[in-house]
Parts: sequence; C-alpha cells; structure tokens
Amino acid sequence: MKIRNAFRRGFSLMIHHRMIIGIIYLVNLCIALLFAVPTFILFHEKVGALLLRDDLLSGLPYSWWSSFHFNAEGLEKTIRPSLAGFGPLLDNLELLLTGQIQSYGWFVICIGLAYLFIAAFFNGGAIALYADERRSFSTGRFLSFAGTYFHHMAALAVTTLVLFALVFKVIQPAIFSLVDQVVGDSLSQSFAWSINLIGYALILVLIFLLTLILDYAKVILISEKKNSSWICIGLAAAFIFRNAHKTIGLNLLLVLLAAALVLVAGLLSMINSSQLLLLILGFIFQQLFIAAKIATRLTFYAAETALYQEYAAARETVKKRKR
Amino acid sequence: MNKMCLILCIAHALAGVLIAQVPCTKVASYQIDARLDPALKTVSGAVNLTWMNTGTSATKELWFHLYLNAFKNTNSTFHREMARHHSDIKQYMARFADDGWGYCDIISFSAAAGSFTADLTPQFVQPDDDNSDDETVFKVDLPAAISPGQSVTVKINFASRLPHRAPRTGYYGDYFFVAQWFPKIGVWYENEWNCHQYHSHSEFFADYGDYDVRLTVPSRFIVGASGVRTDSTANSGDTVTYRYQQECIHDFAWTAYPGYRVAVRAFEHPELPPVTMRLLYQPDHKRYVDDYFSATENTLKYLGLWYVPYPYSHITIVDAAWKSSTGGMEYPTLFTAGVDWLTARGSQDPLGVTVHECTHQFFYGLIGSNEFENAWLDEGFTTYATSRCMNTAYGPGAFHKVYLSRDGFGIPVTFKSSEKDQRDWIVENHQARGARDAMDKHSWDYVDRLAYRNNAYEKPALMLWTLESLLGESVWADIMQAYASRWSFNHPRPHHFIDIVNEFAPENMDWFFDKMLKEPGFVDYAVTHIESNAAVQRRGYFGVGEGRELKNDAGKDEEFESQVHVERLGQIQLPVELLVTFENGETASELWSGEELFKIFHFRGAKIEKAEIDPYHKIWLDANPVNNGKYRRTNGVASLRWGAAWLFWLQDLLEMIALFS
Repeated sequence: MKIRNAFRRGFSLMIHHRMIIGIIYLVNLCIALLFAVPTFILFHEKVGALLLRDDLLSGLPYSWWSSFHFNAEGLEKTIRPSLAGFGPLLDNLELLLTGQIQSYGWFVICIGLAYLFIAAFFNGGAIALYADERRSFSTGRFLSFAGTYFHHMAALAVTTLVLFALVFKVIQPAIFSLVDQVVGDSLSQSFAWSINLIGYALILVLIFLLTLILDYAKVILISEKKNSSWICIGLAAAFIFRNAHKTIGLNLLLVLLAAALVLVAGLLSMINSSQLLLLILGFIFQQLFIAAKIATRLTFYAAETALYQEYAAARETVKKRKR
Repeated sequence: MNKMCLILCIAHALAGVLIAQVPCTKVASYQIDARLDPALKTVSGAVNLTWMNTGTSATKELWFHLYLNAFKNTNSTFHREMARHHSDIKQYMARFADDGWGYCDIISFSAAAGSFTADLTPQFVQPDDDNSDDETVFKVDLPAAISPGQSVTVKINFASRLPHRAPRTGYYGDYFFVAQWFPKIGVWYENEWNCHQYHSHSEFFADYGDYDVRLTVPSRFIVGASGVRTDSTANSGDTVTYRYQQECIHDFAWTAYPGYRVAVRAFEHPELPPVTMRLLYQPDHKRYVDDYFSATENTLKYLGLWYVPYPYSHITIVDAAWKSSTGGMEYPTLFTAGVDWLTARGSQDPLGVTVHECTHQFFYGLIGSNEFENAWLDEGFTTYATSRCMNTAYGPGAFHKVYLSRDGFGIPVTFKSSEKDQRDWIVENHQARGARDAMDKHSWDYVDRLAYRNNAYEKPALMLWTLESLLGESVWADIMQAYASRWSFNHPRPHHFIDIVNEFAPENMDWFFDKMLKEPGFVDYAVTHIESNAAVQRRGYFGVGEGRELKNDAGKDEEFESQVHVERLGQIQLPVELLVTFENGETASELWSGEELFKIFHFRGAKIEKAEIDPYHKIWLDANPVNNGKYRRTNGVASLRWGAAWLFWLQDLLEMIALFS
C-alpha cells in the first residue's frame, strides 16, 4: 500500500467512526472544565472588582500579572501572559520537548496521568474499530472494545511513561552534556545556538521514533490479538524497520498535517480583541481546534492500522502460496 | 571608512577643548605603560601617579586598591562573600579551574614628594573585615606627611594576571576585558582614607584626574579603552602601542579582541556638545548596531537636556562577549552591554542595558558618589533615569518568553497583549526582592544579595519617581539639574542631595527621606472593601424650640450611606489620596495620613461605583499598585476571557499528553 493510500484509508476510517471524536472531545472538555471552573472562580475573586479588569479584556497588564503571580499559589501560578494568542500551543510544544510538566505543579501531573489512562482506554476501542472488518459504529461496540483492550493499552501507556522518563532524565541530559562539550569555550553564541538546536532536533527524532513504535505496538496488539504488549513493541520495531520508508513516510505526512493545523490555529489565535463577539468566536474556534487535534490523532491510528493490515494480508497471501 | 575616521579624529581634537573647560580638580593623575601577553593572560606595566592632597589635613600614608587580587584564590573577601550569597557557588568557581585565577603583583613601589624620595614596601590591609587572606587593598607608610595642597609622585611596576571569566574583568578565549587591573589609589575623603576591599555586592570609588595610557598588544587585536586614542605606533614583533588620553576621569578600563567589529557614529544635538560614539560589537551581532547607537544617542540626549551635558568628546560602547561575565558594566567614557544572539521584538534588548550603562556615565562617571557606602546614589539614580529615558524614547516594551531556554539557546517570543513599562519591571523587582534592610547602608552589610539589589536599585528608583510626582516636574527638574551641575566631578553624600531637594521643594522633605533611607519595608496601600446601603430616611421632628422642623424624606430620591475601607499593608507610612466615584458621575476625594493600619471613609449620596487610593499614581513606591482600586460591583467578562484561555491551554495539554497513551 502506498503512503498516500494508507493516509486516505485512515482518513476515511476516522470520518466513518467520527462519533469517537465527539466522545473523546466531550471527555476532554469535561475533564478540563472540572478544573477550569474553579480556576475561573478563583480568578474572578481576584479580578472581578479590580479597576484593572477592563484592561484585562484586551491583554494581561504586566503590572497586574507580576503582582498577581508573586502572590499566586497552586492553580493561580498557571495564569500567565503566554495564555494569550499562540502561547498555549507553544507552552505545550515546549513541554513535549523538555518533559518539564512538573513546572505546572502536581495537579497538572495528576490530571495528565488520569487523562493518559482515559486516552489509553479510548485508543483500544478506536483501533479495534478501525481494525474490525464490519466497519459499523456503535457506542456500545466502541466501549466494549475499549474495555477488552484496556489492560493491554494501560500496560503500553505505563511502558511509554517509563521510556519517556528515560528519554527526559537520561538521554536528554546526555545529549545536552555533549552539546555543551561541543560548544565549549566558543565565543559565538550563534554557533552555540545551532548546536543546541541539533540537540533538540535529536530529541524530537527520538520522540517521533518512540511514538511510532508504540503506536504500531498498539495496532499489532489489537490486529494480531496478541497477549503481550512487550512482544508487540518488538514486533512493531521490526515492522517499522522492515517498512521504514512507508511507516516513517506516513507518520511524517501526518506530522505535517498536525503542524499545519497548529500553525493555522496559532495564526488565528493571534487575533486579539476585547470585543465580546470576537471573544466568543475565538472560543468556538479553539474548541474546533481541539476536536481537529483529536481527529488528527485518530487519523494517525487509523492510517497506521490500514498500513499494517495491508502488510499482514500480504504476508498471509505469501504464506498461503508457500503452502 | 578611513575618511570617516579622519573626520572623527578631527572632531575628537576639537571636542577635546570641551574637556579642558570642565572644572575638575585633578586629584589622581596617571601615566600608565602596559603590555598584554594574550598567551600568558598577563598585563604588566608601570604606573606613574601624581596624587594631590585636596583634603584639609595631612596624611602620612597612601592607600591603594589592588582589585585583581579578589580573583587570586577562594579566600578573598570577594569570594567568601560570593560563597555566602551565590546560589551555585560550585558552578561559579568552576570558571577558575585549570588555573583561571587572576592577581596583581607589585614589583616595585617608590614615592617622591618635596622632602623625600623613597622605595617603599606595600602592606596589605583589611579595613572592612578581619580577612587577612584578602589582598585587595594595600597601604604604604610615607617618610613624611603630605600636607593639604601638596602632591606626591608615585612610581609602581606591576604584573597582573587576568582571571578567566571573572565578574567584570578577565579573559574568555582570546577576548580580553581589562578592568580593575592596575594599582589605583584610594580616596582621601573627609580627612581619612576611603579605600574599601573588593566586595561581591559593591562597585567602586576613586578620584578624578588625567589618564595617559599606552597599551601594547599584538597587532591582530582590536582595542577599545577609556578616553580618546591619540596615537598608535607599530612595533617590531608584530605588536602595536595605542595611546589613550582623557582628562577628568576616575578609572580606566580597556578591551582587546581580534573578533570585534567596529562602527563609529557621531552624536549631534543643537543644544549639546558633539560626541563620537565608537561601538565594538561581536561578529554575529550586526543586527543590533542600530539599537546600540540609538540607545546611546537617546541617553546622551535626554540626560544631557534634563540634567547636565555629557562633557567628554568620546564614548566607547562594548558589546561584551557572550558568557564572558563582563557585560553590563560602566567605566569612564566606556561601558559594556550585551545581548543574546536572538532576542524577542519588544524585549527592549539591548536598548535597556545600553541606556542603563550609558546613564552611569552621568551617575558614576560625572557624579562620582561612593558606591561602597551609598550605592543607591549611583545605582538608584541610574535605574530611575534609565526608566525615564526608556519610557520617553521607546515607550513600553512587551512581555516575552524564551522557549526551550538553556545556556546559549532559546527561542524568544513576544506577547504583545502584555505591555511592560520600565517602571513595571522596577516595581516587580521591588516586590519580589523583599523589604529587608534600609537603604542607607554599606553595600556589603546588606543581609543578602536581594536586599542589596532592592535597596541599591529598585527602592531608590521608585523613591525618586515618587518624589518627582509629589514635587511636580518643574521643581524636580530644578533639583536634578542643580544636583548634577553642582556635584559633577565630585563625591556627593546623600545629605548633599537632600539639601538640594529641601532648597527647591515647597516644604522640608526630611520626613520623607527619614522614612525612605532609614526604615526597612514596603509602601503598600489598598482599597479592601466598598459598600453602599440605602440611607435611613429622615422622618419626624428635628431640632428644638422654634427651630424644630417636621421632616419626611419619603418619596424623595433615594440616598445611600457608603463605606470605603482602606488598609495600610506596608510598613512605611506616607500620606495618600482617596478618590471615590459615584454612580451619578460625581466624585469625592479625601486625604489620608496613611498612619493607621485601617481606616473607614463614610460618604452619603449616590451609590459608589469605584474607589481608588493614590488615583494619580504618585506613590510609585507602592509595592502592589494593583490593589489600589476597586469597583463596588464585580463583573465577570475579564475572568471569562482568561478562564476560556486557561481552559483551552489545559485541553490542548491533555491532548498532547494523549500522544503518549
């Protein structure tokens, strides 16, 4: 199967089972609201009567924020000027490359962990539906599949956590130690900047490859009905190695799609206005972006499933011929 | 380029006349001949000093600074204080590993005055602490006393070894910034030697005089120095000797680095003397050349017009090498700045640091206060004048964040929705650095580095902003002009400035300075509660005898009794104004002495819409101006706007985490 065909197949599968997007989006929104409402109340208590509240509509006056941040505790610490415009996306992208989630406090780590396992639960259901030949969607089947594969998906999620902890705590420091050695006593900061950029690029490549392997491990686990997630990781690595141009090519295409989505969202979010109507429109757009992001993630799984199934079918045909 | 240099050299010569017109008492004049050996990291040379006793009593001693010895070992007072205050002393000390220490040795010392010529032996002294390992100050006993008005000539041969990446001085690769490098005489001040050891929290204090310095360096090096280059001679052995001369300065610093790029421009203003600006910048900083010149021009212009014209014909701007620890420092007619290879638009880099260090040409260079004992007189005035100049010339900057920040790297992004005035930054630091210690202290006596920073930089800067607001721009302009012109080329104490304030202010301001200089703590006033309740309507008989009157207010416009609660949350008391705005548009103002911790103001009339303490923002010292004003009723639109932004951030974060599921 060509990369383009796998992408098309994955996209049509994602559209066919679009109810999954709705379910995941609602869960995402509800969990976020669970914390956003107290944050709003907290914020309102601090600024609802302030003379500065009118200025807060168009931006975050620095004089207010520095004073607020100085006295902030817990959730309040996460209110910052970079919540405006492109900021939230950049903040989260930075997190992806540094793994410094603890900088937002324990509560974000706890919500993150909870959401990780919820997402793992839904992954099982989604991939199983994409792999299922019946092609029909029902919420019952989706949840039933999700339940069936949850323990495997949870095991893979834990494995992922361990692997990424290794990346951020061992490999990343090693890479930057090497970067510092290369930079040495160079008087040119542009040189140091370039070497550091290579360091971050290496980490990005590592994250990309790990995610790729773990994605295919999920697909293989469900498609082949395997019982060991560890074996599936090995099989996934072997599959990617044998079909490197296709698997990597497909995921690069999907990454490009995600990057384009983030770029468009970022550019639109830079429209800053204090007008209520534009604020509401901005909020609607943000929610559409979250839904689109979920759809993109699901397209990854669907396309990967399509590619793998094509490969598995071809392998079976060869086996039959040999017999 | 060569033509330009020729024109500028002629301009130097012409402008040199201006220096001679400056009334400066030449107390300590130096002729120095020095040679840089870049391979050995050494500077050796000879000093010929003429020192005049301008005091009113005789002295039989001469005291000298020998500040490179601060970097001789871990036991210097500088390093002991660094170990006490530095958050990561191991990382700091690592720069001296592999023999990166620096020192200055006196090879020979002789002095000659009217009745004697003698070879003398320097003796290290520690006037500030009992650290016998500290060798940053030495004295010599003279065979005879030097009377007031008498001069002594001193000849010193010295050999300095430069430290690796030490604060403000040293080398980094083949970049050399050479400061505090020669034996520099202390100040015979108030009839005693004022010659402090080198402290980690302090800067410098020296006397004015003429400098004539010859620097010999390998010819591949580009050199910048205090003063004006008046000669250059090519020597055998591929070295060149540059001669720099400058009248009426109190220190001399220089730099040599083969990688420098050089740009020269002229500062011209119809009301101010011309100045040649020479910029030495790093090869990958070409994009910042205009910023460096613009910031220098604006500083020379605004401070020249507001306070006193810059009297020298020349200024050298050094864009310090990255990681060299020499950026952001002032020396007479030369200062260092610095900037990251990438900066955010709106971050005001390198404008801010350039304006700050150039401002030091006035508050340090011209007005030579004692930075050890009255640090706020130079850093506080400079911080104040920097913010004034930046706000006038450039307006507010914007909040910026550096993503993926680590040493040598970072992707800066500006958030234009969050403006950042220079004063916002000062208030922020004032609040964050705490209220410990009073301003009027020796800089090494502050409880910690934050207390030093706040009491030397932010608090005095905000005090000056507050004074300007309280006294009005016109009176303030007179005060600052009088201070700058009377104390140029001199060493003022705080009371000299206070005397000038009292001379021009409509009332004696001693009460203000007593609170500011001697009391630790913040100023912070807040409006904490507002309420408006329907007033009890008057019905029944009021008054006695013939004046008794039957009243019935029923049916009339409803009146309200309102309360505004104000609190003093800080320790320092200042009188403040309260402005109340009613829903019918009327206003009422009250003056509060600010002495009580809590006060309730009562009003009768329409409902209150809002109340604000210090409504015209005169009290810049208020550490938390955000709590100064309040509406009576809350409104949730702003909270919704930021609540929604926060929700979106969390949703996106969760979806990013899902990538790892």
